[in-house]
Amino acid sequence: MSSTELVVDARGLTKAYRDGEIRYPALRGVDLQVRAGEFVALMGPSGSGKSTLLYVLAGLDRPDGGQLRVAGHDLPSMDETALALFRRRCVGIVFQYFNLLHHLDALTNVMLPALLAGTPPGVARARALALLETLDIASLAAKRPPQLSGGERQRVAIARALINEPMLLLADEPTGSVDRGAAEHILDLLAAANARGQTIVLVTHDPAVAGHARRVLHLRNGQIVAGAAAPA
Amino acid sequence: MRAPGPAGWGALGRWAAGLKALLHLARALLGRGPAALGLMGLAMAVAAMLISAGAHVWRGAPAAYDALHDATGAPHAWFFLPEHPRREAAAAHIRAMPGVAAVPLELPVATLPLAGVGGERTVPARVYGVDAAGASAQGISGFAVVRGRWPTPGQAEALVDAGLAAALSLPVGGKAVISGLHGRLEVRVAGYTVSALHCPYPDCAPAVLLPRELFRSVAASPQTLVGVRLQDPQDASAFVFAARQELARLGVLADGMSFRDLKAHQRLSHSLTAGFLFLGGALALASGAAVAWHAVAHAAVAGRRVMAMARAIGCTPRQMTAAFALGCGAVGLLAAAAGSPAGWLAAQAWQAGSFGGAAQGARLGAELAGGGLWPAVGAALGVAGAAAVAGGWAGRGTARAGAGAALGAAGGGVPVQLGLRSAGSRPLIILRPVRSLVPALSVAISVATAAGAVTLANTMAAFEREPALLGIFHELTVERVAVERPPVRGDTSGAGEPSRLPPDAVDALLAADPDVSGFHREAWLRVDVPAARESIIVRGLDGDWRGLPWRVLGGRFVAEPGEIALGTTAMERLGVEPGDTIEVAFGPRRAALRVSGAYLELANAGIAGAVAWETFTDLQPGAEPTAWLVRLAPGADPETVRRRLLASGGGRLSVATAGFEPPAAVQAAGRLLDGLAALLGAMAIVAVVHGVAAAVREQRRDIAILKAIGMTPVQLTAATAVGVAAIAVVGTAAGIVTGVLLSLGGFWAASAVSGIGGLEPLFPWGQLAAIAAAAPVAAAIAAVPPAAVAAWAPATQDGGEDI
Ligand SMILES: Nc1ncnc2c1ncn2[C@@H]1O[C@H](COP(=O)(O)OP(=O)(O)OP(=O)(O)O)[C@@H](O)[C@H]1O
Ligand SMILES: [Mg+2]
Repeated sequence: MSSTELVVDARGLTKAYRDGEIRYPALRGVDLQVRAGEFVALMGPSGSGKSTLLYVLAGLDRPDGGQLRVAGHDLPSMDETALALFRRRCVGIVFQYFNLLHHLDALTNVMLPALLAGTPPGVARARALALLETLDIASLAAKRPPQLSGGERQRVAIARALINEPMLLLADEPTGSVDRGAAEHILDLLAAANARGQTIVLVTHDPAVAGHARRVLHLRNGQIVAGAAAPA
Repeated sequence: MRAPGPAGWGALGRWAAGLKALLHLARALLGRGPAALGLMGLAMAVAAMLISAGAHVWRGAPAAYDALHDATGAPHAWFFLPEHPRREAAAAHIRAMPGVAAVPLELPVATLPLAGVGGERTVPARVYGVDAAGASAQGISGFAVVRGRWPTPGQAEALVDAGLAAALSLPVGGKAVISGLHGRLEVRVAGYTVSALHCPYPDCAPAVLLPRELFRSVAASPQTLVGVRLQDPQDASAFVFAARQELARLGVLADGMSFRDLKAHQRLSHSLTAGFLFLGGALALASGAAVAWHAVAHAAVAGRRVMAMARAIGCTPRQMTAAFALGCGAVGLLAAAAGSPAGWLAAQAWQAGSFGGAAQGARLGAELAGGGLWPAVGAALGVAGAAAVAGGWAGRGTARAGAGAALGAAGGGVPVQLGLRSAGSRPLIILRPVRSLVPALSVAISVATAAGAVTLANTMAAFEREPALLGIFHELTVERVAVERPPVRGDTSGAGEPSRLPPDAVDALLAADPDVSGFHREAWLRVDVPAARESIIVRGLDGDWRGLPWRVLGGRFVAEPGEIALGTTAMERLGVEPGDTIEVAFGPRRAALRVSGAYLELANAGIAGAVAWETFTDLQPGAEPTAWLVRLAPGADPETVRRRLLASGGGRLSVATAGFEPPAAVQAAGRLLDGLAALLGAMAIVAVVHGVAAAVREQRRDIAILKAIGMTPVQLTAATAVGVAAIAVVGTAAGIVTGVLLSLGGFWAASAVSGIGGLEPLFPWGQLAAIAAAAPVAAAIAAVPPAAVAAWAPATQDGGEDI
């Protein structure tokens, strides 16, 4: 198995949150390999460390121990600037709680990563509008996030994560706030992205959603308990 | 007392419960910004101190003069009767005038030079001969001993004006020299005195009290001071006028003054001091209010959840506003409680300086507390009120928007705008705080403070450097000293008579000096204005005065004989306008003078007028100039020329450096303000840093999100700094305009209240431009640390609860 084919190569990852003296271990030795072009679902009970793992994979958080390479980058050794550039070029993230900028309208929120990556504004705008169209929320392009429903915000967040067509898409419960119909629609969209070669790691509580993935991993108490190894 | 009925209890109980809830809420909200509240407390304490000191000076200085006047049983009107065959008759005449209640003062007096032993400086003092034994027993009307004791009869001891002693560094027990016509007299300083008959400036001859036996040995032809108390003190000016008319009929031309003239002098000094203190207080109050605003804005951000929770359990926006007002008001009250007594102490110190330590006199202590409790209470309430209003006002906006935003945006989040400008394909991202008012206001107030301070400093420096701005065109004042002519064998004609250099000789001496570029001559005369029942000082100008740049404030300066230009206070007192004609009287002589205009007159608190020499000698035939006002060649050192003229005058000239020397009290207030300016400056910087940091902290969530989608820390920091700088540009512009208006207003007020008129600030445009350029840069720099902290912190850690 050549490591260059691996988009994610994590070995023995540990991570604990600290509140003063008290430590809350969130990851207790996670081994995870994801090949380019895979669609992986991550399941597990609430508090098992799914979001934490996703943050670590995105370079938003640093592991306390273990080795981690994502898209060929040795994340633990990189500084904040390098990590930001890594996210800009390689990763798209859908946050569990969306994290949209309240004072920008939906369209600008979506365009932003493209603009950061140097896409000409006209192109970025067209691409963002197309994505909103696909997600059935083009009519809401001028609204700001506080004026949108939870499901609408979630779709804006997904569009933002997709706009740069990142090599790795990390989605934290991307269908948690939408109805079944919309959820299916979103999953189709993710499947299409996957078909174009984007690697996807998706967190979900819903077995039906996980069913769309080619591989399902289970996280419990900060450890992967089933389906750890990448298929040959 | 009967317990209130159930209905009363119900209302009272509800009210108390509501208040308690608000206090809890205030603590929960403001407890998050202890540093800001501390800073606000400091600013408010400084404001309370300055305002309370200003109020004490404002109310206390006139009260202190009144207290001194009352405590010493001082006369309401007094006259200086020159040596004259009918002097006794004149004195009797005054005593017999209707309206006289008592004649508590009758003393011989002479103006003689006084110096400390070994001291450089000689000051003309008004030396009185007193009955030392009687004085020790009952005191002397109009004079108080503030340190030491009355002179011992028969001993070479003197009581010296406290301000004069301070100027000459004469300690109690030290030695001073009085140069009399019969020689030098060395005396021991028995103590310090203050007098209700003397104005508080160095240029007014201060008092020295000598035992009468000694006085006779130095003073050749003294005047007699006659002081009367009147049945109706308000009538004092008219009484002086009437008495002078009567004396003139007897052929005795006497100078006369009333306590109202003295109060006019006090007004100049205390109103300027109080004005400076009020100005400083207003600036401190403004910065305190700005910090209160920050504290509330900060609390509103940090306390989003508390606010959301409070709203959820039924707290109204009005209650939220009240909670902020209550919290800030409480801090303001504590600060005011600390600052006001400090202001009282500062005012005490000022009064001790300006009334020569009179505050230490046990008899006067209580009265000299001056305005009493009210200024302190007023300042305290004002400061606490300002704090409450600032807190409430800031809270009003945040309580309304804050609650909605906090509940609506479940993940929290503070409004931030993001500017996108396309430059080619690279977007320029600017993070501009939406609550821009906080950093803008903190910059504006700091810039206004700085602009006001540099303008004040520049103006004062210009006054000192270029006294012509204040109507002072000369560097040196030369007067003639009368000396005893040495007896010449065979010629007894003038032996023992005092003699002065003839005016032509002084002219010749001045003309011979290479560094003297010009001079004009002056003489002064108190004249009456019968129609107004007032008296003013007339300044006769002789020689080369027409080309001087007199500071004309209305109409024009004197152009020809028969005209008079008046100081603004004189104009006001006489109720005349340029173009009017006034009749002035000096003894039996009268003259009708046309008022040509108003000019800036520092002397005699502006109760003076200028006339051409011909007009002056019409009123006082045979008058000789008393002072030569000397202008020096550019670059000449006044001190060198002074020494040279003293030497060439052979001891028969007195030469003083002229120029703008603010009254001692104003200088003391200036020093106080210098210290406080440093404090205010430091506070302004802290306010900018704090305001900017608070604004940037509000952007933490957005910074975290932008970082998550790929903005680098450097990009984020730069975007934040540029956004803050843009806000600061607006704040700076507002601050410069405010500072300029504040300075104009302040000088206008000082000008109007002091009675001098025509004081204008001189704006240091270069420095103002430098401030305008530096402020946005400084604000941007202040934004960098908090922005960098947010930009470099791991995204989930920093925005932990947000991301
Ligand atoms: N900022 C934090 N500080 C302290 N502990 C944290 C923090 N964030 C998460 N945790 C703890 O870490 C553990 C893992 O949290 P994480 O958010 O990764 O769970 P999750 O699997 O995503 O749960 P859910 O399905 O509810 O989203 C939990 O026990 C949680 O309480
Ligand atoms: Mg989660």
